[in-house]
Amino acid sequence: MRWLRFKKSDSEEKRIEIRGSYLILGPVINLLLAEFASYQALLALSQPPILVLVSKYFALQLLYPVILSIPIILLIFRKNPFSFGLFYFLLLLSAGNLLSRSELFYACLDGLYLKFPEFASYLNSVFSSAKDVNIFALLLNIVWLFVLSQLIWISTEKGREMEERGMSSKNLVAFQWGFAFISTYLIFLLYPAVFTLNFVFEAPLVIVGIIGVGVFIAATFLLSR
Amino acid sequence: MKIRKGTYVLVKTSMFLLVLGILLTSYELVALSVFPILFLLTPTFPVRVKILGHHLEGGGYVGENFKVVITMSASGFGVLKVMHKLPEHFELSKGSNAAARFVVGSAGIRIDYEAIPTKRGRYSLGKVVVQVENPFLTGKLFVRELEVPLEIEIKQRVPKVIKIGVHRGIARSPTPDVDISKIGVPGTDFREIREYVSGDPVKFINWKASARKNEVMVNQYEVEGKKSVWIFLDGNPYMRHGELIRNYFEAAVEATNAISYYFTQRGYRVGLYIIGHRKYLYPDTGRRQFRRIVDELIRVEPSENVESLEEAFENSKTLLITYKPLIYFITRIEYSKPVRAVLKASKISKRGRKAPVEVIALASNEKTEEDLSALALRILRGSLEARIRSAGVKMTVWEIEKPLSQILLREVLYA
Repeated sequence: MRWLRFKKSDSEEKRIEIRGSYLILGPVINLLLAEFASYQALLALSQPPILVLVSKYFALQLLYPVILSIPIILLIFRKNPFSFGLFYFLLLLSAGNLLSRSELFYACLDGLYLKFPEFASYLNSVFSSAKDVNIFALLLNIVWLFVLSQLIWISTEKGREMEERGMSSKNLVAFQWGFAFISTYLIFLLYPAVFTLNFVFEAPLVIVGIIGVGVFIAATFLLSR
Repeated sequence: MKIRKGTYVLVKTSMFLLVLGILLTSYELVALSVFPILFLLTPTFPVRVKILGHHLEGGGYVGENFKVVITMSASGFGVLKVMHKLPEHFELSKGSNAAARFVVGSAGIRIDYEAIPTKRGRYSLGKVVVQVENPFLTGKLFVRELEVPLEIEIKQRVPKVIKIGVHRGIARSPTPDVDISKIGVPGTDFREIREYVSGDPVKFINWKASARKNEVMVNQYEVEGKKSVWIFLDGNPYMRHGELIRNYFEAAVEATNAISYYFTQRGYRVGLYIIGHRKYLYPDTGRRQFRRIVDELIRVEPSENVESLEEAFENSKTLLITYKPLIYFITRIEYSKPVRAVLKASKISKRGRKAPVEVIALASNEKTEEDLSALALRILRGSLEARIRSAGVKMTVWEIEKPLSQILLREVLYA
């Protein structure tokens, strides 16, 4: 759709630049969110069993400034400080703790046992002792911060686009940021309560499969709308 | 279907968590994969938009600013964007023709802008596009249009032509400044006695001659008034060449406007034939006729069909024989090759007199690369110019980047 077309003079461009200066807040907020998320990932990393494994070779604290400086470097290069790449990286840092309860990991250890029985036994002793470590809250923090940062980034980009077209978007963007924060925070607060409920659901596997397919179709329908 | 960026980001995040959760058989990651999806479930609530008032001020001519104010009210919940749709040939000069609001409950919206039309025409400004989306900018985008009764007519400013080259003389004049018209209000100078034809006034019946010949005869008097001018405006597809705002056709329309204004103001009958559209306006005098011509020129665009100048001449031959006007051809001679049409037009007068014909050849002084085709066109134009001039027809070459009045005045000075 053509919203408008006109040649912008230098003064006009400068005026748009000044008018849209509040949009710099978007990347700054994202930087803060990325720093918080990085800190959460480092907290997850500094828990057993990863702590036990890594601290044997070097001090984990050395990683702190490196990881915390990534969002700043991204901002300096005019990229989204909380990009997808950083999110993947933070999750992979935290995922080490999830291995202690992963069936796949223990299956791999069984395979490793055939060639390196001592090393496999050592890993098994480290990881199986950390089965009670729960990092769900830390992961939820990272996911919440990332989703919020993405919503803020999208509305900032839209706002910039509108300012370039001569539309004032200050109020719109501010409202969107506020709404994104409130709604994601409410879900963030309720989320653990919903997912830590202990359901006892006994049903034949066929029924579970049918329900799964139904949910998949419903999700596809919802996403296609 | 185009996936919106917000939707894509949330789905991508969810998929990543889900896949990682399945790979690591981690309940936590699978549970977290639902978190981003929850925001996709937010529906787009309806937002009602009503137009409360509208106002259009100024404008009317190409290049003249006009101001539009539209006030609206909105009620509902969501992100609302409204845009007053502008035609292609309008440029915004102040403000914006679009506005955006985050609507919670009810809100007022005002569109206030100034724009400049760059091309003649009758334009409808009757559409306001409304876009509604949910606050996360995900999900369905609702787009609809509201009607506003706004219209604007943009006329081309008539260039002030002080004088068009004339050669005074009785009947042989190439322009009709002092010629006597063939039709018009009868004067007192007796010309001849002829047979009565239906419509002749009773007071002109010559009773003595009628009695002698035993049939009704009437006196014919010389008519008063000036002669007619007939303009052939070339509207063939090749006239479209050039920029959207300033091309050969726009220049031809400008020339037609200027010539018809010049002659109608001086009491001539001016007729118009638009080549390509096979459309003509009968010669008439006065402001009303000029208004008719302007109305026609506001609407006209280059045709999709080609009509040769000869065909155009044949189509209007009857009128040309009746009025014996000064004929103007406004065209690009290298494409229309008007030699035969011009020669035919100059022979419509009886008694061996040459009818006054003038060709306004549109050209451009663009500094283009001199390739073979440009060279061929230049040679062809030169040859056609020479042939037209050698036939005794007046020709004016107008480089459309220059002002028309300057060209016509130069013709007067050289004459």
